[in-house]
Amino acid sequence: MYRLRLRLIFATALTALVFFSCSFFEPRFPEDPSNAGVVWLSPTSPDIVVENMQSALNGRSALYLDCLTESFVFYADTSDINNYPSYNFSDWTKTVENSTVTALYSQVPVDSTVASEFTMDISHPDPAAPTDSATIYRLYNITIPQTYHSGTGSPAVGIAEFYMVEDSVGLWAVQEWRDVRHEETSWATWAVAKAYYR
Amino acid sequence: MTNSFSVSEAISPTVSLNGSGSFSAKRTDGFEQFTDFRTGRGWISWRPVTGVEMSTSFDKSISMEDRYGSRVRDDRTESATGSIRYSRGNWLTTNTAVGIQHRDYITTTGVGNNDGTFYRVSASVNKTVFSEINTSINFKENRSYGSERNNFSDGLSARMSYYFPGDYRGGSISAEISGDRNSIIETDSLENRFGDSWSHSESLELPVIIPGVFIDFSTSWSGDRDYFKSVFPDSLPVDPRTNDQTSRALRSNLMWDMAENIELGFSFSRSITEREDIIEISGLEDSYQLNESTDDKLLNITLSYTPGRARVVFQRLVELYSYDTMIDGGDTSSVYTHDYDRDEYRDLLGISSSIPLSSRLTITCAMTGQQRSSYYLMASQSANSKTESTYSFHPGYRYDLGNSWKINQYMKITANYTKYMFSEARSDDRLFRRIEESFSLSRVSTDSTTLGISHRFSFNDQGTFEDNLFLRTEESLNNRITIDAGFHISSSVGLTPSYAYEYAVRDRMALNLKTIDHIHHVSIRSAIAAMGGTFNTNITRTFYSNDSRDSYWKASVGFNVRM
Repeated sequence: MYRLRLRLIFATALTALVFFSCSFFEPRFPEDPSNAGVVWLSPTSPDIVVENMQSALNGRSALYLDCLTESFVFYADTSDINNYPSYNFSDWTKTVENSTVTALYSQVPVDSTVASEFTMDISHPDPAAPTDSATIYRLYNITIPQTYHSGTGSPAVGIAEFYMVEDSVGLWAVQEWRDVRHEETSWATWAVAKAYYR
Repeated sequence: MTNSFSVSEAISPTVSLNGSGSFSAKRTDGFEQFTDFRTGRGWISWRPVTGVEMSTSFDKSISMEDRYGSRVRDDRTESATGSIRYSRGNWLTTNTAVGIQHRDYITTTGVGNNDGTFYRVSASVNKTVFSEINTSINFKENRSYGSERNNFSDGLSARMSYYFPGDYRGGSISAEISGDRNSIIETDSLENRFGDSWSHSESLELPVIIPGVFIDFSTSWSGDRDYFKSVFPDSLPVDPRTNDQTSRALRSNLMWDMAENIELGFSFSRSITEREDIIEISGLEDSYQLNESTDDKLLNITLSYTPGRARVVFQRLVELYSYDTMIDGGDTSSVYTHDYDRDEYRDLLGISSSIPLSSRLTITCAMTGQQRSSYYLMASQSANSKTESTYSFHPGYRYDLGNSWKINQYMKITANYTKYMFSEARSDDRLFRRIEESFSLSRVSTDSTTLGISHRFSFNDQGTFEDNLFLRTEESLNNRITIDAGFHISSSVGLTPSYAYEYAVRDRMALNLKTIDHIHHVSIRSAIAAMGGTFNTNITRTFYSNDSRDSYWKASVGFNVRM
C-alpha cells in the first residue's frame, strides 16, 4: 500500500513537472522586420544548398548555418595552414563557423552589402542523381566589406569541395567543406578570411 | 584509398617484435591533385620483470601533395624513442619516454627543418580508501624542443568516487577536476601562443528509494583560454586577439520501470556556454570584445512497451537553443552590428514499432511529426524567422526466407511545410513532398558477398504554398534497380559482380530546366580472407547514356590483418 502511494505521488509530481515546465521552453518573439528576408528553397538537392548558401551570405543571414549539418567540419587548404602558422585552422566545427561568420558579418557597415558568388567548376560537373551523399565543387568569390582578408577589391577566392549528405526526410546539407586554393590567384581563401576572426 | 596493417611476433615470453603501418591516397581530377600519407612504426618490447616494460620504437611519416602538376607539400618526420613503463599492482603506472626527431618539409612558402629532442612523462595513481572511496590522480608533462618550434604541454587531473553503503547501495557520488596548459614557442618570432584549460565535473546517482525508479544527475564546468604573449612585453605590442570560453552543463536522467513491459525514460539536459573574443578591426588600430552566449535546453521523454519480442516506443522531445551576442569596448554605433541573436525551438512527437508476427515475419512502422522554428530576434534579420513542420509515415516489413535469404521492403512518405512568421517581409511559404519505396531480396554472406536484386524509387516535388494553392517549382524522380551476382570462388574468396540501372529526371519548372539521365553502374567487390585479416576491394564504373556527361571510376581498397 505504501509503495503504491509512493508511486502515485511520484507519477503526479512527474506529470506536474512536465506540464508546468512548458514555459521553460518558450522562445522569445522577434522584433518586427526592418528588411526583407533572403530567398530560401527547400534544399532537396546539393545544388540548391549552394544557392541557399549564396543567398544567405549576401543577405548577411544566419540562415547560412542552416546549410550545414550539426556535425559540419571545415578543412583549410594545407598551403594556407603552412602560410599562416599563427592562424588556428584546426577542429573547425559548426560552432566555430558560427563565431567566425558572425564576426565577419559584424564588420560590414550598415549601408554596405556582402557579395558572394558560387559557380560550377567545369572540370568537376555535379553528379546527375545523387542519393544519400554527394561531392560537388564550386568556384567561389566572396566580398565582405571592411574585413581583413575578404574586403572590397580583394575578395576571398578559391574552390570549395562540398561533401553533402541527405537527411532522413530528403533534405541536403553540407557535412564537410574542403577549401582549395585557386591556382591562378594570390587572393586569400575563405578559410583565411574566417580564421583571422577566430 | 586507405590501407593499414599491424604485425606482432613474440620472440620469447618477455620479448616481442611489433610493426604497424598505414597508407592513404586520394586523387582529384581537375585540380591534378594527388595526396599521399604514409606512416610506419616498428618497436621492440622487453619485459625484464613483472611490472616493467622497456621499449624502443622507430616512427616515420610522409605526407605529400601534388597540385596542378607541381609538388606543394613534402613533409617527412622520423623519430626514435626509448621508453620505460612501470606499473605496480593496479595502483601505480608511470611512463617515461625520451627521443630525437628529424623533420624536413617543403611547402609553397619554402623549405624548412625542425630537428630536435623530446620527452614525455606521465604518472597515474589509483587507490581505494575506506573500502568505498576510489581515488585517481593523473599527471603528464610533454616537452618538444625543435630548431624552429618548441611545444610544451602539462596536465593534471584528479578523480574521486564514493559508493553508498548498506541500504543505500546502488547510489554513488563522483567528482573530477583537471587542468591543462600548452604553449607554442616559435624560435624566430617575438610573439608566442599560449593556452590553458580547466574543468571540473560532478555526478550523483541516487540509490533506489522508490522501487523501479533510477535517477542520476551530473554537472560540469570548463574554461578554455588562448592568447598571444610578447617576448618583450613592455616594448612590443602583442596581438590583441584572444579567445576565452566557459561552458557549464547540467544533465539528469530518470528511468522508471512502471510495469513488467513498460518503461518510462525521462532525460533533461541544459548546457550553457559563454565566449569572449577580442576582435581586431581591419584597417584601424582598434579592437573590440564580442561576447557570445548559448543556452541549450533539451527534454526527451520515451515510453517503451516491450511485450515479448515486439517493441513499441513513443517519443516526445522538446529543445530550445538560444544564441545571444553583446559587444564591449567598441564603437557600437557605427560598424559593429551583431544582429544574430536567435532562438531555435524543436518539438518532436513520434511512435515507432517493430512487431514480429511470426518467427520469420516482422512488420515495422514509424510515424513522426516535428516542428522546428527559428526566431531571429533583431529587426534586421527577423524577416527570416520561420517554422518548418515535417511529418513522415514509414511502414515496412522484413521476411526471413531461410538459408540466409531475406526480403526487406519499406515505404516512406514525407511532407515538409515551411511557413514564414512575417509574411509581409518574406515572399512565399513552401511545401516539399516526397515518397520513397525500397525493396530487396538478397542473401548476404558474413564477408558481405551478396546475391540478389534490389529496387529503390523516389519522387519529390516542392513549390510555393499560399492560400491553399500549391504552385510547384521543381520535381525529381529517381528509379534504380540493382542486381548483385555474388559467389564464392573458395571458402576464403568472395566476389560480387553488380550491375545497376538508374533513371533520373529533374525538372526545375521555375527555371525551365529539365534533365533526364539514364545511368549504368557496373562494379565488382571482392572479399579475400588472408593471414587472419580481410582484403576488400570495390571498383565501380559509372556510365551515362548522355555523351555530354563524363563517365567516372570509383575505387576503394582496404586491408586489415593481425598476425
